[in-house]
Amino acid sequence: MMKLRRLIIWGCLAGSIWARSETPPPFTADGFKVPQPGYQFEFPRDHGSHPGFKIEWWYLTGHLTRVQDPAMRFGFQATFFRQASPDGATDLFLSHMAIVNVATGEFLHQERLNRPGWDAGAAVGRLDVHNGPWSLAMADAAAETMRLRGGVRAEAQWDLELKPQKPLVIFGENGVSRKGDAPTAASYYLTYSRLAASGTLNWQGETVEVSGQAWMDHEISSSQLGEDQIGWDWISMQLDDGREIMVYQLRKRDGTSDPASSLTWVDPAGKPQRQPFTWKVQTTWTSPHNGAKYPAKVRVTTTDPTTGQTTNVVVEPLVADQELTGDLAGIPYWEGACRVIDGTGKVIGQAYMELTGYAKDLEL
Amino acid sequence: MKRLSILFLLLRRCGLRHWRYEPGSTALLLAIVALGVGVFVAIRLANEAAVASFTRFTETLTGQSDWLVQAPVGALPESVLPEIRAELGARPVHLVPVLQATGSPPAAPDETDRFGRPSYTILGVDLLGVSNLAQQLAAGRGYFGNSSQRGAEAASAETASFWTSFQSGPQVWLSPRWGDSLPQEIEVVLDERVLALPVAGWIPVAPDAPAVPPNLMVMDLPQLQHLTGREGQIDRIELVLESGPRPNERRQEIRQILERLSAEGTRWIVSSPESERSTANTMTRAFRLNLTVLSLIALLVGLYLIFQALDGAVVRRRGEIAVLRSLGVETGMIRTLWWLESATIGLAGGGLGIGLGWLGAQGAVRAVGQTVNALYFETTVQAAGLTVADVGLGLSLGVISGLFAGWWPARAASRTPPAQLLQRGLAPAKGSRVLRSVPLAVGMIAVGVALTFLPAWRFESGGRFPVAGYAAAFLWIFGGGVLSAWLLPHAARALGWWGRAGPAATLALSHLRRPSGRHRLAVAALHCAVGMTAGMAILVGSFDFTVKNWVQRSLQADLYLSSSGAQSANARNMIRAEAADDIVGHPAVVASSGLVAYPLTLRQQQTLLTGTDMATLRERSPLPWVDEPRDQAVFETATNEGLGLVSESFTERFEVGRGDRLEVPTPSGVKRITIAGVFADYGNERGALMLDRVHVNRWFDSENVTNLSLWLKPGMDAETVRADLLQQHPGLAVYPNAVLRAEVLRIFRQTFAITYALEVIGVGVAVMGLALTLTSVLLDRRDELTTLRAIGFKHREIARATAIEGATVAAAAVAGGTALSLALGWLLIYVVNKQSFGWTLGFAIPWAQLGALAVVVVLTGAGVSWGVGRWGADLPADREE
Amino acid sequence: MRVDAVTKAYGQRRVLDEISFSVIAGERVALTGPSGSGKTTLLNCLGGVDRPDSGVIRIGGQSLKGIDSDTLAELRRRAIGTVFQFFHLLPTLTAAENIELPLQLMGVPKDERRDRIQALMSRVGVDHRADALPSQMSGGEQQRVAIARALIHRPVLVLADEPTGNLDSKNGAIILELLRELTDELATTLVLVTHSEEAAAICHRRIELRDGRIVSADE
Repeated sequence: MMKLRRLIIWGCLAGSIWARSETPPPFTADGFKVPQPGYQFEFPRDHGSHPGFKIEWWYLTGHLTRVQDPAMRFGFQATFFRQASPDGATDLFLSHMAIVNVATGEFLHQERLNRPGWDAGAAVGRLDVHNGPWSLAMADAAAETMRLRGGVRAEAQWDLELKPQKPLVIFGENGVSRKGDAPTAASYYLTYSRLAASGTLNWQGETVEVSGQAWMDHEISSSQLGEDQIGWDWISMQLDDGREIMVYQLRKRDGTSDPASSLTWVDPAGKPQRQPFTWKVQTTWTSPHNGAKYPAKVRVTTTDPTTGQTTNVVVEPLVADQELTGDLAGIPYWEGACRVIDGTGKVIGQAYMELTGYAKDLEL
Repeated sequence: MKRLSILFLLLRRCGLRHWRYEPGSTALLLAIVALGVGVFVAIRLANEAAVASFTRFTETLTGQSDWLVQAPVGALPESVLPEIRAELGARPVHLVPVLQATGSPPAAPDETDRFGRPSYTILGVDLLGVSNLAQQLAAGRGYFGNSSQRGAEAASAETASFWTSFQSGPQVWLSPRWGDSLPQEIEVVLDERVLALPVAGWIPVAPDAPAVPPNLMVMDLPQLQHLTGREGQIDRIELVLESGPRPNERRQEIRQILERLSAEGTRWIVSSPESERSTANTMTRAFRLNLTVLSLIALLVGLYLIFQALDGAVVRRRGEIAVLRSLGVETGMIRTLWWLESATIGLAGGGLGIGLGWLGAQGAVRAVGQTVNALYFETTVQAAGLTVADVGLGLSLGVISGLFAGWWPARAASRTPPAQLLQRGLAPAKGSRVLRSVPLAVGMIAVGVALTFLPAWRFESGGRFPVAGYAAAFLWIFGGGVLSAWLLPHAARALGWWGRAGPAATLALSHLRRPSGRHRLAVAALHCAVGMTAGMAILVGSFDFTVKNWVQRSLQADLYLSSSGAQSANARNMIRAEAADDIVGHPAVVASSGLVAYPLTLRQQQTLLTGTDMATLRERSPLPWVDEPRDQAVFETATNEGLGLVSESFTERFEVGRGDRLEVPTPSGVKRITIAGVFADYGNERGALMLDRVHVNRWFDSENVTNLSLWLKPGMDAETVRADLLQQHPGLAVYPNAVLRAEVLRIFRQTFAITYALEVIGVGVAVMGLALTLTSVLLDRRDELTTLRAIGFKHREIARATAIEGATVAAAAVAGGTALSLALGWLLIYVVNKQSFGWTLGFAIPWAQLGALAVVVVLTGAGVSWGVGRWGADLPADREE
Repeated sequence: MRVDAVTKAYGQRRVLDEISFSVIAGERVALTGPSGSGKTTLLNCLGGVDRPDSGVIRIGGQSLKGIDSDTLAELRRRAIGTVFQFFHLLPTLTAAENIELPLQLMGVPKDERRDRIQALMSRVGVDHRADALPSQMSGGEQQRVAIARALIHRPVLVLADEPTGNLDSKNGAIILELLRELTDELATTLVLVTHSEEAAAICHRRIELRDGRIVSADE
């Protein structure tokens, strides 16, 4: 299994369009490691934490429906952040949990911040992260199945088994995903683009069996946004034909898109392929919490690698207000379950969209 | 209806108008009611405030917790946290570990070491973790690195300052009520060191959170652990459920999990904030009840005075009542009229009393708080608040007092004959038959004696209230009063031979041969006051005597050391092991004994587990024994691992004695201890279990000491050594032997300060009552006075006659009162005190004090009566006053 | 009024011994006699304030025997007025209020009271002192107020015990004159205990008591 993965990685490199010959420096100015092209990934080791790197996150989003009543539909997000102190001596663990009940439009979210210790941590060498009562761990390293226990206070709780249906994808060129001009603006970007999720969901006191599909990102980096970048937009789409699209757009202060923005298709076998794209905001939504104006309906135009044709997909939120208001860390952002619609208006998949940096300078 | 309107007409025109025309005496009457009600309300409010002020300090940070987990004794190891989290699984519960320390501001250089200085409570909490709690989120800002800047630069500046703050060394956050401006750093005495701690800011408070007590400080948990040398330890875990449906179900489920892991209360005890509060409540209930009883006495005293005043008013307004009677107003209406008047006075006085009581409570709260602090637990003195219930109670008390005190005068008023008959000098009423019944009095005294054999009423937390004892006291006072009054005519007859000495004496004694109801009441009241005052004096005298002896016998060392931060009953300051070794190794020290004390929850009651150097104890400061050990095994380390000594209060509280076995939880498991002996200990009402320190240190894995006793080499100067030690360890409190003895006695005397005040008031009131009685009596006898003057008595002689009358009354009261005081003294010492606190006191009668009291009372009675006589002699005969 | 064989004793001594007489409505009777002759006691019995040991007293046909004290009080309220030697005005009430009191006790409505008081006060000549307290009035004024109080409720019987005993001769004469005129106007029976000749002179007849017995009585 490991060897196959390594082959795929080298395959990505071969198929890359963009190539840069510069080698990034080994450390950032404040002493943190910089993702190096050609890094030899090893699993399960690299599912674990990477001390020495400044920022790391394990990011799960997914769509669930009730087994006995598919009309009951939910979208969930579970994020475990690790952030190192400026001197690298210690870490902080921040987690976000969110869930949306699509039928009723209710959106619940919670943040939790802890220092490393008995109540929060991320193991090195294997996937085992926890923060308070929440946890994500690899239950079976060989089968790569994971167990996620998340929730929002006592109002919602979920316990899911996640099983990859496609091999792990490593985005970027030579194992490094670029995020900006600076050579340090990069990350290792590992993704399970399609996981089968099954388990239980307790919603407002009532427990139901659920199943669905999830997407998991694991990013490791040491850089923040560049000086001229004010935020990013990111969408993960899972199409009904068994393919996925991952697109992110880095927005610059002057309103333009950073060239490091990219869109990548993942084929049914798990092979990634980068394609050019344009991003157009069709409608917006204004947050009642802080007045920020977020994109709502977004049209992404790109080339379908199978057909070579230009294709339009529209991503539309299933519920308008899925904003995490950032009570603890102070950073509001929008992250929500969406549907994917083709040019004819037919629903062709599900997606999760993340929009950051729209509320930074706004006051309540 | 007509009747009612006549009633109110007469009340307005005849009753209330008198108040308007005599504002002075009306004000006096209102003042008396107000005082009685005021004292009662003040004590009640102070009691309530003292209990309400039992703050759960963490509540200001976490909101109300759902469960508390704490060790039965000592600390919890931090390792239980991941264990509990793992057992709770994904259940949404916040686990908040807390370490609590006490410190105090350093003593000023010239300040002598005293107990009772203010202290700080320092809470060590994970300041990052706690920010996840709903209450902290509502506070709007966290602990680390607060910046009010906005914008992009602000974001990075804020982050930078967060990290600086988060990773900095020890720092404290102060309560917003600590002071007006935030200091840069604050000096705190912790164990035996004085530390200067940087101040990071004010504690952030949510808008509707409970007020933060002014003496609360917060530190980051790891910092406090390090500072106090308690790494890896916590004092308790607070569990806070996250919000959501079915909270009660979830709460119960969590409790079950916690109980299951607790190994039947030996690893930890699960409790709730309500149960903690109610424990605090019951711990102090006995104390508060005693205070309430005292305040009831104040009320009774007020009642007595009101009665006297109303009685006097009836006599003064007799003519008016007589006119109304001749105009055709029925006796029933006269009675109702007077009753209404006294009820109105009671109501008005009660209203005033509430205000007075509230004012008084502000002062009383402080005193009560200090006592609770010293005896039970840390409290923060809050202002006493007035609730609607208190107001209602005050007014009702006023009205009831008025009605009660006014009943007899109203009856007397209604017996006033119409004006036509008034000219006849009617013999004054002899008073109710009941109050003259000697057999009844003797019977009451006998019942009282029987009651003294009954045990105290026990509360759950171990407090005891001697109900039977107080009942016996009441019966004896009442019976004694009747008997003292019975003495009066006999005394008058006995003094008859002296009466031949002059006309004044003859006159005076002639009245006393047939004492009126008023005379009897005056004797009874004075007898009661003298008896209670002298009885308290006996109690206090015995206490003094016993404690002095105890202090002399048990305080034998030259120097006593503790942390100067240890100020209240549940302070946790210790002297660290290294420092203790250093101190004991001082060249001037020839021997030392260390004591370590841990609060212990045994059989759901609070007590103290102590460890001391048994060998040194036996050799140098032998304990005063209540039940001496049969052999020396308990004093030798080799043999005493399962043996211990207990204090007398301990035996009362737990109902055990020498030879009984105890199961004592410790961090190293449950230990079985056999009680080898019982010693007397007046320092602590909760009782103490004393074991060999060698074993205690091993079980608790700590060599810290709570205090040290040092014996110096002959020729060494205690003051020099003291100064030396203070220089090396500035956070110590070092008491030379004499100073400590004086301090201990000072504390004891302070406890009785309020009783001295009450004694003086009591006697003063009774003498005032005597004066009022004689005034009424003379007014009643006015025609006799006219006659006396007519036959040639000089004013001086009339005054002398009254003085003799008053002095005889006082003497009878003093005789009965002294007998009563001996009985009450005995009762207070052997029943009330023993049952409440479990202490055995020696019976010591302060004869000089009693003698002085007797003389003072008789002389004052005579003097006051002389004055009344002088006034009465001047009464003009022709004016109907 | 009829008095039949009224006897009252204090211990062995008989203060009243088989007293019998009758008085016609509107008549003025003087009770005279030395001190200790029992006249004050008799007056008190007539007023229902004291009870004879034996014998019957009837006022307006109503017997006083065996009546409870509340009914006696009622009787005093309605049917009897008293004038005392020492005035006995209520010290906290003004002159007008003192006079008003018997009417209030009877429940007479306010308007009627006002008119009657006004009329009687000017009749006895104290209307200029209507708002004065007794302590502010002279003896003569006080006794006039007392007379007004005794008569305001138109009683059947007025009892007076030495009404001029505390007044000088001039005021005394005024008082006696008032008593005579008013009892004539209102046809009220008056029983007057006195030492003074002037007082006895205003009466229709005189009954003399000695040692508790009637020794002489006019017809």
